[in-house]
Amino acid sequence: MATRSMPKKNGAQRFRFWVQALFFILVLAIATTNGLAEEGIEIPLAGSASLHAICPFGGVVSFWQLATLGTLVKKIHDSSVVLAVIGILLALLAGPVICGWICPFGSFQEWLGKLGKKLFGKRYNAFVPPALDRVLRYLRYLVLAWVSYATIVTGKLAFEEVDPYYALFSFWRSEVFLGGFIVLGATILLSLFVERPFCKYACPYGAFLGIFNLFRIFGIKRNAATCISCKACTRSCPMNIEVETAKTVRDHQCICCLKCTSEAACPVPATVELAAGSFDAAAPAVKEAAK
Amino acid sequence: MIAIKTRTLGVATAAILFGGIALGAALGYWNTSSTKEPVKIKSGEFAGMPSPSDIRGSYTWADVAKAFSIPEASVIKAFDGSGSEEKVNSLESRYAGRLPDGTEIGTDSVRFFVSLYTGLPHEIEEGTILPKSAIAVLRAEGRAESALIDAAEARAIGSGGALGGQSTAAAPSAAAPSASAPSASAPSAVSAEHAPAVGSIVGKTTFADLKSWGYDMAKVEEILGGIGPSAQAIRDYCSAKGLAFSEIKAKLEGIAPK
Repeated sequence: MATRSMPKKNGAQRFRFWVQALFFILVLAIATTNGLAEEGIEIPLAGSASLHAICPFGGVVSFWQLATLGTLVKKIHDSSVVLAVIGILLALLAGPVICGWICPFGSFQEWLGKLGKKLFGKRYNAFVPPALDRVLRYLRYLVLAWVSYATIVTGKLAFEEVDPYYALFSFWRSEVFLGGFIVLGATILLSLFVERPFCKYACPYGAFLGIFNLFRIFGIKRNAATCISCKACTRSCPMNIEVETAKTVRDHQCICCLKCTSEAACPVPATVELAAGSFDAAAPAVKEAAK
Repeated sequence: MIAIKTRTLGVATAAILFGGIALGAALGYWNTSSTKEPVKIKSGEFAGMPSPSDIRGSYTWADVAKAFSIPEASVIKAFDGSGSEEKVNSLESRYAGRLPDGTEIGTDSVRFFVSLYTGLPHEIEEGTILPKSAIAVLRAEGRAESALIDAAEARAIGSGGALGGQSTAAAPSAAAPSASAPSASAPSAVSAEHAPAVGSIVGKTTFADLKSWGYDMAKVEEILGGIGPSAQAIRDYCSAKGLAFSEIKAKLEGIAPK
């Protein structure tokens, strides 16, 4: 089998790691400089944007108020709306790339998961029974509905009270709610058993961006003609998506991390790709490449 | 078929993100903080003037002074500030636990002070009081009518936490002010004893607040001639419809659920 003799392809995912690390450090730096500015310590050239100002979800939940009243939800600034629009544009192109590449809280869970993999080996990310897991995946849409409704009705950031992302990057600040710390603690613990538990079951922004997986332009495509059904793609997926059975992955949970592609897990060249169009149209050329 | 490699996606994602931010900045949309310019009063005698009601906790003393053309030293002295870059929201932590029940020195106190100092209208929130240092500044600089300052002083608090002329030891919670001091716009007084079980209607009260307090929304609609979106403030609705907020407020308080 080709799978056994293929060298491990880590280059592309190593690149992704550095992109994630870059954004993690950037957000950490912004949170730190903002915290210092609140204490009256200004760092030259660093600015003092708050975490709310760089949160695209804050922009998403402000859309309704912006459209009906012309104002933003409390604590949200214009920059959040700009980021929300960019997030939508990216999602239209390639799905929730913000989740898979940029979101520092997603990266944080992913890195914690490496420890879980060491602890539990192949059992990691397979603890939740599939039937239950399938239902739980829709919980985040309930969270999205609740957050949207509460924000529209109150004009305040409803999610702030349970936001683990805010708790992680602002844990030293008194304005962080206890609910945020509780959710953060639960996420840290669960990350040792399940990959990206908050993303899978609770993240409202991930739920929003996940909708774009249904019609994004560049999707994860599997070439059935060259696929050897080794299931390496499915095994590599942090979101437990069955890539091996799909021609185009339309699962609302895909985060476009590209771990399943022929650049990473898939042992056959040009068989699992991020692409626009279909393999059928390019069948001869792809088959040639796969040889 | 157009395929994208991992590195291309990573670079494109970063490029679209930072390019979008750069475009937003070029178009003037990339603002990571609130402007420190309060909204202008839309109608009436003070139309076009900055509204004290829009002072936020993130304003510094310097922002307040600049926005309302008040000497910076006066604002800092009024609230015993530590410097021009100290934020208005520092008041809440400074006075936490030191005030009688039902009273508060916070952002609304600054709005109240600015309102008295400038004569611009502001509807004070129930429980809002001033520190005595603010009264001293108002008197020393001859700002506001004596009667207004006297009324504000009755509910002012000294550095030791005493209301009005009372000593600290003699300042039980029952000494909470019995009536709101009139602001420059002379809001109707709300007695602490007679305050409805629901919240008082203030400038930021929204339709959602009324609903959650158990108001009969049909009656509210009758008074207002319509109902705004849940998150809209009653005052904003009144401004948009050309209604006098003080009159509407009185009518709404008249139908407050028991």
